[in-house]
Amino acid sequence: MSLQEKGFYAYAYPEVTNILMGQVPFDFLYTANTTANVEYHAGASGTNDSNNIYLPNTDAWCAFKVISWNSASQLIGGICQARCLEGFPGDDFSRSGTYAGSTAASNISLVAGDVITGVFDKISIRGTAALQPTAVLAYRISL
Amino acid sequence: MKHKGLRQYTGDEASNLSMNMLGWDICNVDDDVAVRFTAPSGVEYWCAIKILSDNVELQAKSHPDFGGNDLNPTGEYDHGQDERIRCTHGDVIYGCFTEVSLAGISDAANDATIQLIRGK
Repeated sequence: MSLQEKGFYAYAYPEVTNILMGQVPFDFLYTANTTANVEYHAGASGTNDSNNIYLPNTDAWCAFKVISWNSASQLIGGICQARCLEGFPGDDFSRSGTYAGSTAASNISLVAGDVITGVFDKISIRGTAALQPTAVLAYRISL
Repeated sequence: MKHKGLRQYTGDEASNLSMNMLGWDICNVDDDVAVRFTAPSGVEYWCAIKILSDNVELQAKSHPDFGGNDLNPTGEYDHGQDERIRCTHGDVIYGCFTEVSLAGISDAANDATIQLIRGK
């Protein structure tokens, strides 16, 4: 198979990922906290607090989709970063390339409807402004 | 039965879903001075560029086996030249790229962030 064929073969129908999403359960990640990131931890136990929420029954996530809305019910963006599961090739989903859940400089501002695919065990989100929280649908994957 | 994720899929669907597993490199610059990014060791090329911020300027060098032009108004990649294409958040450019020259626009307050999806 030619190089071109390999490259385009994997990407011929990128939106098919949405078909996958219709068939898997998701976790609803949400925060109105605009002063600090809130970290969601998959496959980990702990005591939930204002900055950490643990989801021991979720192994990991294979995608997340931004669906934030503001006080006027308008769809808005969200502020996110995510840690890739160990062994996943390349960078974390972070502006610096390395996940730093509590470090705002690593956050990436996304727009409503953005879908980020990968394999993640932590997703860190932050509200964009007062009355403009961030909401994310994180689709589960079983390991 | 628990959902087994991407590995349950076969055929064309599986090939598309494999994009989830390819991995990526994230590149970020914080002003209008172009920065060159090259495919890391073991990565032959990037097969897609996803724009993660507004007002991004870039050019990209196509793999020599890809055929066609580089991603640049001149058709030829040259990290040092001013000609670049401008993209916005959400844009996805598929191709077969070995090098990217990335810059923000003149407004230094805006970072330029892109996600380079790895090929084989």
